[in-house]
Amino acid sequence: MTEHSTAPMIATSSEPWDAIVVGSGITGGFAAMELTRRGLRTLVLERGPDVVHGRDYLYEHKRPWQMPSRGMLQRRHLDEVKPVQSRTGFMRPGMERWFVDDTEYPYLEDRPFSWIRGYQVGGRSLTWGRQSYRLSDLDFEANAREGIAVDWPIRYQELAPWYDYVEGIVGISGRNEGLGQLPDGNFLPAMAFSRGEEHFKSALDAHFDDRMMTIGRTAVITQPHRGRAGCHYCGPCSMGCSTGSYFSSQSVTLPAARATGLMTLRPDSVVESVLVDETTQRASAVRVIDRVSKEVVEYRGKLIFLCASTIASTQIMLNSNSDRFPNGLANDSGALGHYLMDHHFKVSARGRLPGMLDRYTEGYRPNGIYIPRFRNLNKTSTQPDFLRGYGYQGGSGRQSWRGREMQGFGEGLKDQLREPGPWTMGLGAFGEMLPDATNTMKLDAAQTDAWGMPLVRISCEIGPNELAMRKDMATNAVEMLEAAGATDIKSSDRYTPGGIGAEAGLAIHEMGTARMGRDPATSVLNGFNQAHSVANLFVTDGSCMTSSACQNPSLTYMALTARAVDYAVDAMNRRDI
Amino acid sequence: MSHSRQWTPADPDQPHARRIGRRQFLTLSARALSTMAAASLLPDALAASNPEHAGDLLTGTAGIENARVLSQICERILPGTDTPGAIEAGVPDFIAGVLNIVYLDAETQRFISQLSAFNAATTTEYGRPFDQLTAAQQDSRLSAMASDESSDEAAFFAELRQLTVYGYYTSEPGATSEHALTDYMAPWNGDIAYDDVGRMWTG
Repeated sequence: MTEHSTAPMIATSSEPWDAIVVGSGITGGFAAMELTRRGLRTLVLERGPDVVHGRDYLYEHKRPWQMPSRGMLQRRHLDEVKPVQSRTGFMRPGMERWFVDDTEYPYLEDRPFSWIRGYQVGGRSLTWGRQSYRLSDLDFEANAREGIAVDWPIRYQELAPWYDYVEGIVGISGRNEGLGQLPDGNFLPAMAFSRGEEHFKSALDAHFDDRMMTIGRTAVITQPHRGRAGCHYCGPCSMGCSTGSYFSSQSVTLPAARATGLMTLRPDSVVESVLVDETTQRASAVRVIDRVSKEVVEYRGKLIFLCASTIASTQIMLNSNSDRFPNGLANDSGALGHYLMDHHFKVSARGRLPGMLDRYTEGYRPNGIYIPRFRNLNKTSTQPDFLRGYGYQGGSGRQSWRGREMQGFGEGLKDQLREPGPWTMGLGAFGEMLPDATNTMKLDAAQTDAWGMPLVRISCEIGPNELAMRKDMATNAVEMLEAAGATDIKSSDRYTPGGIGAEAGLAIHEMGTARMGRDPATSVLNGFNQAHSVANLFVTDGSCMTSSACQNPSLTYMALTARAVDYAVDAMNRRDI
Repeated sequence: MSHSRQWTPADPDQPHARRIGRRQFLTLSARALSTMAAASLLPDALAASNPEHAGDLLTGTAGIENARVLSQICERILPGTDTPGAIEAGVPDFIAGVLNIVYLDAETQRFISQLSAFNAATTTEYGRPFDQLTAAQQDSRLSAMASDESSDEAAFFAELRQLTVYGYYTSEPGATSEHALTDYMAPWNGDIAYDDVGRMWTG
């Protein structure tokens, strides 16, 4: 990362910005694009350095022998500098720089919680898993139906057109399956299954009436789309993709915002707080500390969009105290910082599929299969031991030499490793985590970071519902593999109480802490992601989530962001804001 | 290569990262060990600047011996045939790099100790260090090492084999001579005839 500030000098002029967006990742980029397209002069603040599309993708298309340490993670260094970030398997050699140094950005864990972050322009949109699924009314109605937490203030029908819109821009490849729990979408052509996956799917269809398998719905385009080239199946997307075939802020939203001539992007801008005009009870400005120079600057804005990511946006709000809001901005309810969630995962199973040794695969498909939720959909699938449900992601291919069982040594070993191994099939579950008031993040005033910000203290762990669900996840994964004739099946659950391996946060789907709701007394945001008590403040990243569902959430964040911008700009034009 | 770690809370008081500079991945030429009989696996400067570092055991007289032994083990695991062997593919250098920047200090220390112990036991049994045995004797010794699957020696053999295989098939000589080079512009096809490729893809 550069150690000189690339931040443009922006005068704190008397004229306020039409809009200020905090964060440049999945939601910040989307907000910037939507706001500028609606004609608003928009300032985008990103706390990290710039990452230039193409130029900064240092290891794209590199062979293993061209990679640092041949693609082995440099644990000795990472254990010192990124001990938390390196808990995730998403960090690959060559893109470690897109995960923060924990030494530079510390936080406090009362119980293990992996807060995995990417502080740079584009944020985690550079490194995300790209799986993109809609939520359904099964999810939006769940809290109300079960009397848990508070009701979502929206239903699927209100978000559906925004899913359509966002999918059209992002470019999601996938298959429509007509499932109530996983609504269809506006998809580009689906990627094909592998031979092993076809085998598994046939077995699933033959042996189970209650579940099905589809190809992953992924934000990787399979044909030219809005000026971007279709995927050329080269390898791990997260090395960066100069053809823009996977969605990131760099490939889609920031260039679109820039093209309007209305966006100013300021990297190296650590947002310390949002200031409030006590008379109007509106957010008036954002206070920024330059990451490099530590200079403090204030920018005035008419609309403020917090898109800094779950936890980070709430951190800013909790650090924004005033006479009107002594406990954090827009925190009349006291809900701010509570109901932190993630998806719980690391329950998996893998087995060896029989035969098919005359078949193989070609190319690297940046996607896998998906088995949508099949528990607690209706009366017949109601589970006695847990609420909600989970989905499986996975895939099948022939074993490479990596991780392969080997016999002996010498010329015979070379012979073994010249040919691919058997087909294997793996499944890993992602489960819903219930919102719980005791899963919290707070600020620890006694300890501050290098910019004087109080450190975040996180106390979060999965509960009895999740633990019961995990047993079902493991059992069913094994049963399905057995039904497909798999042998040598191995299953694992990496969770241990108080240990690392499947701790909260590790799914990198952290959400909640500034939830949406109908009642200002119990929630922070209304149904348009607008703060109940600060009309020109919107929070559209994962902080807004009222429950977690079990689907990968970024698509929903983008749909909520686009919808919130539409609402905010209309309201501003009506002079309601 | 798996390792377990105890969870420790993120510690804001931890001093800022020590820099990796002196622990840069070794950039010895690809065939350094095969041509430099007395090469040490670590630069002397490293050992001198960081005397407590486990890498000391790869320098000096004992270190030179360890380097030779390691090279010979790698070569017997993946020998030169009509395609390059481990030494030609630079595998010993690769492993030196792993010890230097991938393994934690304690792991490197343990690795070197096991390597020394292996060679000491070999010397006792054969009257000569491992690198001075004939190829047949070396193979016999490695077979014995791997035979008792519950033993520490067998676990060490598995580790050596794992590292050798990794280093070999991620090297240009190893990967391109043994495997089919993936085409970064080939479309995905999930069901092709294996005979059309006839070997594993690189990767």
